[in-house]
Amino acid sequence: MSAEQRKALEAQTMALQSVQSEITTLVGNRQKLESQLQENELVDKEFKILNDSARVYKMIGPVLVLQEKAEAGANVEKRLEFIRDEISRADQRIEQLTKDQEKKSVEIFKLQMELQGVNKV
Amino acid sequence: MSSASTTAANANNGKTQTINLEDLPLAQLQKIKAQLEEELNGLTGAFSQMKQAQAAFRECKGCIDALTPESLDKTIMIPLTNSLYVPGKLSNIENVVVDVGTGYYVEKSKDDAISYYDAKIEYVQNNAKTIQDTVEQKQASYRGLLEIMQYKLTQQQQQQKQQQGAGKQAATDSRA
Repeated sequence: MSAEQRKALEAQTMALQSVQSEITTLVGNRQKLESQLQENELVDKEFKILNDSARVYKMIGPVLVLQEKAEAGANVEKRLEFIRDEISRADQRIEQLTKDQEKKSVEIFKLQMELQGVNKV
Repeated sequence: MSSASTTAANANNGKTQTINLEDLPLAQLQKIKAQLEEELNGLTGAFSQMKQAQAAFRECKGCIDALTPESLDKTIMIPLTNSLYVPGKLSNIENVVVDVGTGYYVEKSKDDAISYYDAKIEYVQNNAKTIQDTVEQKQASYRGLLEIMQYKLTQQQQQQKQQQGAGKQAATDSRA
């Protein structure tokens, strides 16, 4: 009996660890997204206060290419929307995984208690 | 000993809970200590990055200031690669092209560029100040935590000595 329980405990522990490492990766990704969001917001603000005569360049490889200010502005705004969507998706996934993690820890705890109960008897 | 009820931030979901550190066992305290150390390292790293960014912006401003009317048509070395330069002439001392982020560059007049960099320097300065304040807070929590851990450690050691003493007493009693 206790060998079975031990296996179940091991399996659950490994599952918990994989969930935890996934959460860590996701949180890291979310932080990167957050900093991208801030950078793009700065650029967006900059474009808004720019007067229309100013020239905007985009760096493509080693070359600065002249762009339409309207086009660049629209580009940045689309990027901002995209990043915001990504962030909310990542948040949802993180919430899901955290709940999953909690459930698994509770199960592991129960299994450990059972195991200890069996050993003591 | 002052009762140190310190705010320990729960790193996972960013909620702050007020925990009375005295009530926690030594093992938990050690975990919190490790967490605080990590946070402090991260924050000090971020702070020095802010300082570096500030220095970079100041340098940019200095370069713009070097574009005086006298430097018009002066020969300058333009880097093609890290080790290859070509001579050129400074033809435009009124406008500069400024990196605004995410791969976009904007042409600005000298004055606009200088005010842009001034705004950036102030922005970074404010961030650096916020980081500094947070660091000071965490350092205070850290010191309080160390005090409590020290206290618990000595308590534990005393308890162990008492138990050993009682054990010896019981042993001598049983032999007698």
